[in-house]
Amino acid sequence: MADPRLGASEETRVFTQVLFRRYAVYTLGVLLFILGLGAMERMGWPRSWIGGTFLIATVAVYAAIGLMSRTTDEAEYYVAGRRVPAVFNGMATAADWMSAASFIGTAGVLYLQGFAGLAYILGWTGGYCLVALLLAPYLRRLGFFTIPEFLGARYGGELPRLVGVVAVALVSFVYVVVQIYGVGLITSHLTGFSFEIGIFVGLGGVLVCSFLGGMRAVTWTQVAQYIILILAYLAPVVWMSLNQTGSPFPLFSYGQQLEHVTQREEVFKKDPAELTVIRQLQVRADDALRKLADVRQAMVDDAETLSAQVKALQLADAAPARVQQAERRLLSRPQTEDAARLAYQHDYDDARQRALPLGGMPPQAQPIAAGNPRGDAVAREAYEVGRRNFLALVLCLMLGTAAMPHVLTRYYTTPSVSEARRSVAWSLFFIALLYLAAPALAVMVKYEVFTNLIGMPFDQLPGWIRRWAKLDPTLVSVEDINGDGLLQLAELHLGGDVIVLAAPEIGGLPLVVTCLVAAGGLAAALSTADGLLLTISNALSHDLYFRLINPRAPAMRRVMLSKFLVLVVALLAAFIASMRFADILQFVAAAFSLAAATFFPALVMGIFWRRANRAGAVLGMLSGLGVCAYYMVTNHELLRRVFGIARPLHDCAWWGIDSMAAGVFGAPAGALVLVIASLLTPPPRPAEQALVDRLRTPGWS
Amino acid sequence: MDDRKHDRPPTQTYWRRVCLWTLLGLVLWFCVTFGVSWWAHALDAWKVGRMPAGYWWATQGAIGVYLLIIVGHAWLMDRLEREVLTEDDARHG
Repeated sequence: MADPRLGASEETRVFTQVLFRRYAVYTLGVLLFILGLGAMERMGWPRSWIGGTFLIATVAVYAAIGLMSRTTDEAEYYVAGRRVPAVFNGMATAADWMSAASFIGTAGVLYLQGFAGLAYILGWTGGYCLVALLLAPYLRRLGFFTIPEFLGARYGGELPRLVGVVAVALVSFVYVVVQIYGVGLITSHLTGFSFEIGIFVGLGGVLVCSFLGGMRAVTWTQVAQYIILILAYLAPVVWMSLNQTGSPFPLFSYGQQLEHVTQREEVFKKDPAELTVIRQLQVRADDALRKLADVRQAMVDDAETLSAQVKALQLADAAPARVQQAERRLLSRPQTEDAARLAYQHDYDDARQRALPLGGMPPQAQPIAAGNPRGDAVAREAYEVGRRNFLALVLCLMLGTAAMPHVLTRYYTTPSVSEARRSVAWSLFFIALLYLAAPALAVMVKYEVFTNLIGMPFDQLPGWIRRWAKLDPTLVSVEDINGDGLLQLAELHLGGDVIVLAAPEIGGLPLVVTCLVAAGGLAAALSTADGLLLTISNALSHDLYFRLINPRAPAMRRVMLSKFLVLVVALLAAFIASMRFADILQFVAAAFSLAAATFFPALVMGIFWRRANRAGAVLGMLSGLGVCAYYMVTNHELLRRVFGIARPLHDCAWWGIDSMAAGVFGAPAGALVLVIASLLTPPPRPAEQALVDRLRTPGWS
Repeated sequence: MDDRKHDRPPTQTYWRRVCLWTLLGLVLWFCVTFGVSWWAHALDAWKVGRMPAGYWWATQGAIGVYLLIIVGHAWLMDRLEREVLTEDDARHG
């Protein structure tokens, strides 16, 4: 048992105990801090102070850990000295893995899309089976620093390594921009700073860690961040479960809430007031469609109607606020024809979506909401396409998970191969804590909305609706469409991102929990951004500069260069995030598809198929990337417009699969090309064969 | 003779068994993933606790199976490695 090649060595065990003690003290400190702030809230501290204290305290703790772990040693900087025990590497991976989108977005998607959102839960957990069975232990056995380094050593030559560097940088950069966007969003929500300042405050926290201490600092901060983010996620879930069902174990108790939600859905579908609202929304949609048919005429009509409204209000001596409101509508109407067309299109889409039953949300528990397996031919076809897309997205996210470079590098940091395998199990355990809670949270928020909020008189609506509606009307808005003074489901619009951030307020929890949740979201975004930045800069400095440009560079200079690159990449990403591109979250799925298509075949075949060689790997990676990019360009709404694709969408899609899951085509294409090209060219050289043998020999670590 | 170490039979049987167990894990993984995604509607004929079975499998059951696959695989791999290494040690003293 004491064999250092197997299981945990004595040194690791002692270190684990020390770490347990340290992080226990830290967790206790966090709990006391929250209780303290809760007490201050009762004594009447204002909202912005509590939010600000939370922001400053958490970022300061991360920065302090970063400062304490500063290093210039190469092994410490790249792989944290390879002594991170399995449990803690699991926590760090969980924080690394769970991004702002996981933390804030998942429960929201489940709330809005019901069963369809479970594709993310399945994909982002099942992918770890592939990591554990196919990749992590073997990558650890070779003991490199980066993923392109493995490609370079296994396939020989510069080209595989170069393709690897470019793909790592591409995939991770797309992902890091989204994280920094999330940091800006949460910081501004927490403190009231502007979005741009929020980005740079959060960025300071990221930089101190990865800049000073590399992987070593990032690892220990990520563990600290995981503890905050999981506390922040579970606190409102457990609290709501206690309130609604009397049980502190939401996992076992939310089944009954799901039953209630399903019953209420049936009631809403037949409710006369809901049906009235839906009819009025349909009238709006028709109206917008009419305007779209002749935009120029509609603009003239709109201007006339709006100015007539202002005049009528002035003549009737209405309240000044109402007159001002009408004047503002008149002034802010779109001025150019293009802007007007976009606005009408938006009105049309919005009204049509909300005119669907249940405000456009499919029944929570119904699998594949589109179509019906027992309906007519059209309904059956819609159902088939729906479940094909569900499966494709699940598989694509799984392959992407197993090929995300920033996650794979985490398994380089364990003390042994065996610890790497155990570490994957711990990673999934810690990740599952959040992903098991997300559906429960979505159902319980829905229960709260369906039973307490809907049917409430407009003048008694809770404060959070007004506050969020003021902060961002695209996230929360209410409108008394049928004029009965009561809120109907179709009159309420809740954006996905608000479900988690506002859950404590929806459940009636103290303000301090709201701030805790925001701090948790910040931790999720910062930890992922940290890991990604480090992955990009290490690939650039270690693989591009050291291996390809200047092989004689001393270790010290390589580390310094990597630090400098962290700074440059972070600033570039912050700059792009601050431009606030619309639809930025769609690019998360794109990053997964690209990672799956480029890396997955080359990594797995490199380990399990001896005959895979350089030509095969390079062509395989490039064609995987190419097929994936081609499918995205021809099928994605935004990219189609950018590249001016005229062919109708229907002809471009293969088997009706959405562009989000482009990786399911890219990865098999890449694998196929890899096999064919490898068989057509000479087998790998002896050095590469020896590496494959090393991969397959136990006891290497 | 050390550089020819990898050609010795115990390592080859070791690798064959590793591949076999890995394949088994992957088959299990695929069956669960595919089954939950493809037959969710049919699964709803049953219930787990108070939830429709399709929903329960997609939110909890599948994740549990994934975790079991990983834990089981790690345990088996540890056992295999220990066998090979003790055999190795016995041979070379």
